[in-house]
Amino acid sequence: MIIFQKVSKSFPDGTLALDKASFQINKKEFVFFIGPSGAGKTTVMRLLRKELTPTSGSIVVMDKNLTDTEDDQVPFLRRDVGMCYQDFKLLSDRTVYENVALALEITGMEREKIEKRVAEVLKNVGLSKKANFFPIQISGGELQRVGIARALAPDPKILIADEPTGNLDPESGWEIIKLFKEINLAGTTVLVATHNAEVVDKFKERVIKLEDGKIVSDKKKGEYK
Amino acid sequence: MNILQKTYKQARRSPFQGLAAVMITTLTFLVISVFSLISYGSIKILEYFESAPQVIAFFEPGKDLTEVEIANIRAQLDKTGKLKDFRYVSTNEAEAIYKEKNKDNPLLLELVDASILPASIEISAGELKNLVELKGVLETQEGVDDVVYYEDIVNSLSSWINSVKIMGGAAIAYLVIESVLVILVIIALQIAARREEIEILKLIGATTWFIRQPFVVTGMAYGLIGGFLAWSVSYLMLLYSTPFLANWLQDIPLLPVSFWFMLALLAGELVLGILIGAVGSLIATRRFLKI
Repeated sequence: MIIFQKVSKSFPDGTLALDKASFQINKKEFVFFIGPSGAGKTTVMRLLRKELTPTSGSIVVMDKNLTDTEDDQVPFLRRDVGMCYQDFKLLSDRTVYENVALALEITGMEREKIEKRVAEVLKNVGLSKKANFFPIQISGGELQRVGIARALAPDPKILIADEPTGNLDPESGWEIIKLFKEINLAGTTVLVATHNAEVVDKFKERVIKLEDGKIVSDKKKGEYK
Repeated sequence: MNILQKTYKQARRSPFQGLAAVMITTLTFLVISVFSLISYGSIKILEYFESAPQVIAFFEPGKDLTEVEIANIRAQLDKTGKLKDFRYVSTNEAEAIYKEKNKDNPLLLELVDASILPASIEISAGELKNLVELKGVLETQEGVDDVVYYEDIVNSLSSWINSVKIMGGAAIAYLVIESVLVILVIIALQIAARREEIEILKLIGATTWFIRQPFVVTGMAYGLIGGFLAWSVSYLMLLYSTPFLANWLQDIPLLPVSFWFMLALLAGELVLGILIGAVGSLIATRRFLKI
């Protein structure tokens, strides 16, 4: 599903964010990416959606080499690789429903189908009753659920979450990770970058640890302690 | 949300910017309308003079020609084989024409009578080019004071129309460029105001065209509305001034302006409006919407 092969990423200021990172992730896997701030977790996430291009190495996502992917194909890649952000990235002047529907409007889906699909994903994330609320009217945990619903709406093959619990209280964060696990059990490959050691310990999933842009360990499901 | 709803929402978010864009395009199209109407009118006037090739010879004021003199002049003109119409206007007929034309102005009627008006001979040829020879015959007649020759008028009018076209073209070009730039700047401002939304759209997988489309359609709508408003204003102004202009133009059959001409002008202005909006907004989205 995902193949990272000796991928390096350096920025114009000389920062080496990722140093020859290699890993492979299979279909329907659940993988945590852990490491201190600046370890390269976010860089990995952004490279997977071609928000960044690698300085060297190759990245294959769903049999497509991202190095060869044309710019006009990137939007379609991003629909297949959904992403949730620490700061949610929701539009404050649109309701919960409208924020989620936006992810389907961009695909050109018909209005009736959009209504049906949005209702379905809002139900999955437990926000059916808050469809007409604006972001300012709901809690942090609920905002992240809206972000997840929006990422899920186009039915992505891969779901990426970059510090999804970073702005949440422990209880809400826990609920969000449980939601990701449910999504994974339904068949979606899920990648979560997090600082939350408690969550990582509890879930016993595969864990890739990064430090200074290098992969320092890759523990299979149940191996990480 | 369809594209029209998106465009309406986009325009509502920045009403003053929209108003500025519409006002500037309206001004541009008002100038285009006025110059188009002047050009159309000038061409029609020119056609009128070209289709009525005439020479008028005025004789000394207050002096009528005898029957023999008239017959003699006519015989000379007939001899050229190029005469189409011949008409002698006596001083009394000239006075009658003058009185009819100025019946609403008693002061002018008091000052003028047959003794100071000239008799004249009005002739026409089948073609404009034949007037030169006929004019030559008239100029040699005894007692001729002045010969009014339509080719001079046609030449002056042609020269005037060319000047109008050059000045109008320059003014229109300047205003069209100005409109494109104003729409470009306004769309750029709207892009800047929606930077966060654009960023989110890019992240969730919106295509370049999906993001650009509302801005481009908004720019086109500004041009379209400006074109329509200017056409409406110019048509109302034309209808309002038609009685006055018709009186001023007298025998020249120019007014009322054909509805089909106005419809063609509207179509042209709407197309140009859309083009101006599209060009301005496309440049803005290409320059400022880095996707």
